[in-house]
Amino acid sequence: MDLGTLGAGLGAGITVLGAGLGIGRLAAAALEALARQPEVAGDARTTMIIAAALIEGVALFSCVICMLLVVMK
Amino acid sequence: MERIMDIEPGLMIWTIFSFLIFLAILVKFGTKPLLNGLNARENRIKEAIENADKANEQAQKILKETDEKLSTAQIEMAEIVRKGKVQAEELIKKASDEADKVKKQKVDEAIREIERNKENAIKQLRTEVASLVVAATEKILDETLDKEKHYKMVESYIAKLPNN
Amino acid sequence: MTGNIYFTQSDTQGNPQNTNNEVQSHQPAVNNAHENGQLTPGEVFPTLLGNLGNHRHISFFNADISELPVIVYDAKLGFHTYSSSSSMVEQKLFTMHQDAHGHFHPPIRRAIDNQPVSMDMSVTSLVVFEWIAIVVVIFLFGWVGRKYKKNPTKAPSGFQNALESLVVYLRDEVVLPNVGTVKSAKTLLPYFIGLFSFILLCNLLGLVPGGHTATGALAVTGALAITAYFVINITAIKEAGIGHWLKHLLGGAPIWLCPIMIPIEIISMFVKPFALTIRLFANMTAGHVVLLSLIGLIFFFKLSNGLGVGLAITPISVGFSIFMYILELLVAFLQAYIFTTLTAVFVGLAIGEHAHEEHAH
Repeated sequence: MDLGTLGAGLGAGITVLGAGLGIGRLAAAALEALARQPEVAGDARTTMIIAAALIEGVALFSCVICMLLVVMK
Repeated sequence: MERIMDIEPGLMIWTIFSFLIFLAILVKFGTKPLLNGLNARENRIKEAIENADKANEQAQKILKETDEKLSTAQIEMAEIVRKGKVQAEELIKKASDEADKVKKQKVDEAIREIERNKENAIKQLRTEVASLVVAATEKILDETLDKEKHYKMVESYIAKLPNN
Repeated sequence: MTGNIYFTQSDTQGNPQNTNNEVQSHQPAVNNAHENGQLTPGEVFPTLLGNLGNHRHISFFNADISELPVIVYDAKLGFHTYSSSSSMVEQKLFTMHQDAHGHFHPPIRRAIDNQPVSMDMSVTSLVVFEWIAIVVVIFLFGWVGRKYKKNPTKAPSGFQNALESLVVYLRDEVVLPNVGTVKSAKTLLPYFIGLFSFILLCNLLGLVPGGHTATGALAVTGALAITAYFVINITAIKEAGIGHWLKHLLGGAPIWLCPIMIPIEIISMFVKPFALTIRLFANMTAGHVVLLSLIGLIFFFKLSNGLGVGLAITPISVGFSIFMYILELLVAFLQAYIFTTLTAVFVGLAIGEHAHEEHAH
């Protein structure tokens, strides 16, 4: 087993760590905002989903790079 | 599975091509009538609401006008009644005044008549009394002086008497 | 990808000497399996995950339905069409790798010098699944559209309600608030409706048992992102004018910063569709990989540890895969929504500057 594959696996794991932390913080902030101002629920939800998608996008970039490490070696 | 990261140009071209044709057909047969229908319905509902609002406004206006008319009519009616009362009072007053006047006239006339009758009666009484006195004096004196002379004498006495 | 999953599994098995062969390609593995009539534990995951991606034939589970036509353009040999891969190989002008199951695998090569052809435009399984999605969407919209044509002001009924609420949601919650101007929002609304329904149907077709996910291929999501890229920039140029669009490349920074700002803005212009591509692809693929791996665990344990262990693992595996399936259903809707919303947001961002200036005037 070569180091590239190991690196890819580790990289995917670390990526998930970062993305999980990021989206978790985002959801917490959104929930706080909702608790303070329940009337902005619709706007907050849309913004939250978009922001989560952007964070997730960055995480997926790195996952794809990990995938490339394995597939294109 | 190794090919999962491949970007096949053929598939890409097919996708773009299919997607564009799909959009064209979708617009022609799907979204155009759908959005037109949606807009038509939205406009119709909007118009219906606007019309209802307008009708409501008009109804409110008419109601207000009717109210105003009703209240002015009431005021007019009260005025008329008041005027009628005043007129009636005036009429009654006039009538009673007239009646008073007529009554006074009648009473005055009656008083004058009585006055006149009284004078007549007094005159007659005087004549009677004079003749009675003459007759009585003739009897007393038993004598016939000059009848005319006596008469004159008695009358002068009577005139000397206080009236009544 | 194969190697990755294969490796982790085989590593737990402590069976590394076999895997080193398998990593190169899963072709030999399938060949072996065919000869023995049974898979080895290490071949379970490659075989299952082989269902993902593009194929030269249509299949329903293991049953092949038909081979698909091949359209090839080569600079030397010209333009050729064949009704199927096997008929192409029979003509001996081009060759293609064929595995033990009789399935063909690209690339197509010239028979004379064994070089790949310039352009392979074949209709593949994912193209067919795109077409199925397209036909379904057009059928549904056409059916409802006829209702509207017949009686536009009548209250909606039945399926019309569902489609109408979707369209109204896209219009009022996705397109109108995010696309800067009302005019371009109205022009682009059909595009967004088409984009959303196409992606959603492709995602859902991938969840139908035996179906394939067209959006699980980089070429498909890339093609959608390329159309989105053109929509974004053409709308921006049309709304703001080419001058404003070029000015936008500065990103509002002073002019002396242009050596830094212009490359950054150009990169960000290309990163947006790239992010759209990767996001949709990775979401759809990852879910299927997890789902298939969970199912694969049953067969893996059965083949390596015997029937009893396989049966024991089944409830756990099925339970998790049902959970994943439901999650995938959510992701199918969510990713279609996110792709559409982000495209709308990017359109709004691209014409945003102009809208501000218009406001200032």
